[in-house]
Amino acid sequence: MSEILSKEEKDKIFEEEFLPQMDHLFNFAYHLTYNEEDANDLVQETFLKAYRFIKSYDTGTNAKAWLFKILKNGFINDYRKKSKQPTRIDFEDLVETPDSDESPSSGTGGVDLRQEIFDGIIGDEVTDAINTLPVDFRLVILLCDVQGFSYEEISKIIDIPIGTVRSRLHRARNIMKEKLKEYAKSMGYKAKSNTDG
Amino acid sequence: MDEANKNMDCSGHDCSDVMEKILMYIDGELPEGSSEKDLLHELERCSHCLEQYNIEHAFKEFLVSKVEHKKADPSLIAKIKEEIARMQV
Repeated sequence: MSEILSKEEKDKIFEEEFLPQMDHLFNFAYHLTYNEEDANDLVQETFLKAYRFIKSYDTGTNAKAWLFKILKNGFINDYRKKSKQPTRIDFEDLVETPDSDESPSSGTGGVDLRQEIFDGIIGDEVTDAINTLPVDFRLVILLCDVQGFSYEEISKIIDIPIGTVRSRLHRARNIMKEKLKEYAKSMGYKAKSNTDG
Repeated sequence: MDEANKNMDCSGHDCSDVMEKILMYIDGELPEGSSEKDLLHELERCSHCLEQYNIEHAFKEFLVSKVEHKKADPSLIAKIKEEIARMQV
């Protein structure tokens, strides 16, 4: 870690390592805020913080994960202020899922999943479903399934143990399946019976 | 595959343990080598576990393919650079 960086060094890191992550960060911000304007503000705030604290970043290491952590922290801080909750947000206990324990090994939550049900669902609906997830679950789904981070990277970005990453992912996916199944049913897609093909 | 040798009710192995490995495998987190081999062996033996794998795999593929991929407006980069230039004054 450099103690002092010249302006040229900072600008080089910023151009070569940070700016290429712009679209990934915007996509993440958009799915967190569900609002393009808020996403723009969040991304801007993230890059400004990143530049301000650039000496904390180890050049050539995982810029994407570092930036995502800054963005996540910015989002959570804003979220806390808006929801006026002074403590860490953890909706896990409030969410009714088919399996309420932390074990990842709780099956598909009893959802009778058929690929045909989901064929008619479009991207907007998936985005909607992600947006209805509690924050803790939204974060892991976005980081793993949308951004492709490893469990270890997610663990560092969110500051939770790897085991908790796994169990939250499992529960988040079960919730998503249930939400999308309900949506598909409400739009009139019929689940094929078990006897079909 | 020999249907007669397939387990339908996961007797003989811990289904919850297999489920955990299925999720790790789908996320690319299961170490290659014996863990992966053991899992594939379990899936061959147990049709219930194989169905769970197919469901989870299909859902992840669905999610990855369907989720919107929003891109930042190019003007955002210009705005950020402008702000940084202001920081340095």
